[in-house]
Order: sequence, then C-alpha cells, then structure tokens
Amino acid sequence: MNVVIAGFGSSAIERRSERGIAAFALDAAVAALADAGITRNDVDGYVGAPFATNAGSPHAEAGDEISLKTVASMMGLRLTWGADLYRRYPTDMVASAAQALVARTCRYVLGLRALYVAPGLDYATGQAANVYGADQLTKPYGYTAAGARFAARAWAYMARHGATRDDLYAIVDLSRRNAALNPQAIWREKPLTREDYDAGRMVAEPHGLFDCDLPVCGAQAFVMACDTDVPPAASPARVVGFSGFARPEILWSMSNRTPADLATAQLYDGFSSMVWEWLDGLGITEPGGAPAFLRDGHAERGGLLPLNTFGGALGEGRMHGMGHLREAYLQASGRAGPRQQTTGPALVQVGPYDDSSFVLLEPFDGARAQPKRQG
Amino acid sequence: MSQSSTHIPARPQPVATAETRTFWNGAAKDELHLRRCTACGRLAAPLAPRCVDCLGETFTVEALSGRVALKGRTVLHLKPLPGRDDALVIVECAIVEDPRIVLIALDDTGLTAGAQPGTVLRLGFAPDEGEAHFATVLSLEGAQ
Repeated sequence: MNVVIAGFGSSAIERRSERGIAAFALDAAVAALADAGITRNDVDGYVGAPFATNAGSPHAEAGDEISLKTVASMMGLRLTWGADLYRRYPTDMVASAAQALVARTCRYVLGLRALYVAPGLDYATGQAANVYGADQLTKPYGYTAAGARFAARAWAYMARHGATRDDLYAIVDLSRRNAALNPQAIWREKPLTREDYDAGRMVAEPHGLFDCDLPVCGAQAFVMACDTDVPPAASPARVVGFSGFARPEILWSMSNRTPADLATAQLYDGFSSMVWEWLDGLGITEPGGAPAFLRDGHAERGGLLPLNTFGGALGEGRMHGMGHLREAYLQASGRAGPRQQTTGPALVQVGPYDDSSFVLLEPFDGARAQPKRQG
Repeated sequence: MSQSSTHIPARPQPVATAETRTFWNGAAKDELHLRRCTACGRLAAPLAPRCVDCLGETFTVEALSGRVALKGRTVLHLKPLPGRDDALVIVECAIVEDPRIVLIALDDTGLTAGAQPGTVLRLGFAPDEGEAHFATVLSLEGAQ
C-alpha cells in the first residue's frame, strides 16, 4: 500500500495514577505528533478504539474511556474524518486509517488508544441483578470473569497437545526477559523465576496470576499518512497488508508475503496461552506445535521468529494491543534500539482466537508512484 | 423459591427476549430446548434471530437430549458470584446434536475432574437462588 505509519508516541505506563485518562491520552498524542514531525494543526483525521473491556467498567467518558469527541475537543483538532471503532483493536485502527488515506479523505490520521485503572472498581465482578443479551448465557456462570473462556480453551489445548504449565511459564518468562529491554514496561525490572511463577495464586486454571496481563494506566498513539506525505523528520514504516481473522490469507495475498518471510511477530497475549492461537492459526507452526516452537527457542530474540520482543502485554502492561503495534512499527522502522531484530516484515496480531485482526509492516522504501487502477 | 423485592439473587437473572425465551422456557422445565430452522433444518443458538446458514427466520422448537461433549473447562478461583465461596468449575459444552452450538454450565459436583476434552456429559437445569434454572452437569457418560 502507499500508506505508512509515520511516528508513534507513548505516555508513561503506571499501575495507578492521580492523573486521569485524558492526561495519558494527550501525552501519547503529543508524543506521536512530535515523533512524526507534524503539529496538531496538520491532523485532519482520527481513529480510536476507546472501549474498556473490564467486566466492571463504568464506561465513563474521560473516566476509563476517552473518545474522539473528547480528544478532538481537548486538543483543538479540526478533523475532516474521524471514527471510534467499537470493541475493535489497534490493528483495525490501522486498516481504517489506511482506507481514509487511500481515499485521500485526509492527510494525517492520529490513532489513539488509552487504558485506565479507575480506583474502587471490581474488575472481575459478575454481580448483577439482571443480565441482558449475550451476558444471560455466560455471566450467571462466572464465565465473563478473569478470562475464563481463554482458560477453558487453554485447558483443552493442553489436554489435546500434551502441553503443560511449563509451556505457559515459557511464554511468561520470555515476556519478562524481553520486557527488561523496554524502558516503559511495567515489569521491566522483574524477571520471574519458575518458583515465583508457581507461587502466584491460581486465577482460572490453567492460568495463574502471572499468566494474566496487568491492568495499567497508559496511552499510545500513532500518526499515519500516505507515502507521498511523509514528513521530512519522520521514520516511517510501510503498511503492506491487513486482514480480519476470518480471512487471514488476505494478509499474505495483499502483502505478497508468506509466514516464512516474517522477521518478527507481535502476538496478543492478554493471557499467556493466547500466543499459541495464531502461531498455529497462521500456519507458523503445525496445529499444536506452538509450545514446542517456544520450548525449542525459536521465539527468542535472534531466533527463527522473535516473538513479543517488547515484552508483550504480559511484560509491558495491558495496552490492548497498542504496545504490540508500536513494537511492530519500531522493529519495521529499525528503531527498536537494544531490542532491534532483523528489519523486515513485522507482523502484529491483536485479539482473541475468535475475533482478531492482523497488520503487516515493512521497512520504508520511499514513495511509490500511484498504482494504476486495476480493471 | 420466593424472594423478597429487596433481595439480589446470588446469580444474575436472565432477561429473555423473543430469541432466548425458547431456551429459558425449556430450562424452567429442566429440558434443553433450541429452535430448528424450518427451511434448512439447522439448529439455532439461543441468541440467533435467524438461521446462520440460510438466514431463515422461522423455527420449530425442539427438545434435545441434553447430551453434550466437554469442549473446555476451567476452575475459576475468583468469586464473581456473590454467596458462592468455593471455586467455580465452569464447562463449555458442545451439544451432541450440533457441536457448533456451545453452552456454558457449572459442574457443581466436580464430575468433570480428570475428564478429557470430548467426554460426553448430560446437562440439566437446576433451580438456584432466584427464578431462573441454570445449566448444570448432571452426569458423566464417558468418552465420545
């Protein structure tokens, strides 16, 4: 595509804060604009995904969620196009921004996702007098708490393929070791021994405390543009493909790449077992082969396919995939510092096994001529 | 069980719509009821307004066997349901008549401890505190 991510910004990531979600959001947005080398006045497009997924969320605007309306108002943005994507992922934000840019609806799209831990809320509650819609079939069983559905699926995966808690620990351990090289990771100075891991209380078997990412306060933001509009000071990475989970093959046909071409992969890990899903699901490993892939060291930095090189959500904190997208951008643009792997196709996947989306980024190779319209 | 107007039941009570009423009416009789598409014969999940295969919107109500294959299982150590202080054994159940339809249930007596994926169970519906009857594992029938 003739579309790039031109820059990325992050707020601090903290477990609790006196500052509200809007402060984190604007920190990230201002940092992203500076990173891309543009000003607030250049921004004419916006994409967000504000939904707070915690079971006990009050869904309070500028409380634990922040939408386009508030960000645009607080930043004085004058937008020709903008959208908040309901219950969708940063990968979908990239795809939506790409569509708006290709259509020449706008020149510079700001993408923003903020998370917040509001005090006094029980994030694992199933308590309610009445339950409506899909909740009526799940919530009375406690199924919406603590990732129970991912735990239930991990149980089946482990039983079918002979994986064990050793294999879950391998994912958490990799995340913590990678997080040590990510200055903003919440667990950057916290390696986790097997004994520490085992000492963590069980949450939803087979997941223990350290198999769950940590809710945090934080925001991350990016700037996207067409490759002919790359600001002079920016370090872009090209968007070469995206697709939804039901048609993962489109990612490869759109980018003219295959899984064998990947230099790095950032796979969503809100719970540790989730990284198995798309290693198998994208055909990087055979069905059931993901635990052995990790066990054999292929996911290590310098390995066959370095995985979650920034520490993943298990190492950085629960940024709901923005951290994964940011790392893919940094790896593709050669800016990952001590974490840098081979610069090449950088995969990012965000979401669960039954509702994900993918983006593939590559190093920038200069502006391309507008492709001829295909018949 | 009667309840006072100020009492919040331990388990959230379902608010049925036209689509889910078949399921809950069956549950009240301790039976698994789903709707079958009159056009193509596919069973519909409780929430579905139309058949997922043919998008037809006319259904007949069918009482099913209650036999299900164990698809997923977790022991939840948090306590999301007030008044239930023991860990919850939550099971995902693929109904044998169409395993694409998965129902959630509690295994209150621990029958599924040590069971493998695919083990056939029998589901029933038990009154708990409040009005609704919720799915529960009645017995274990063995490997599929």
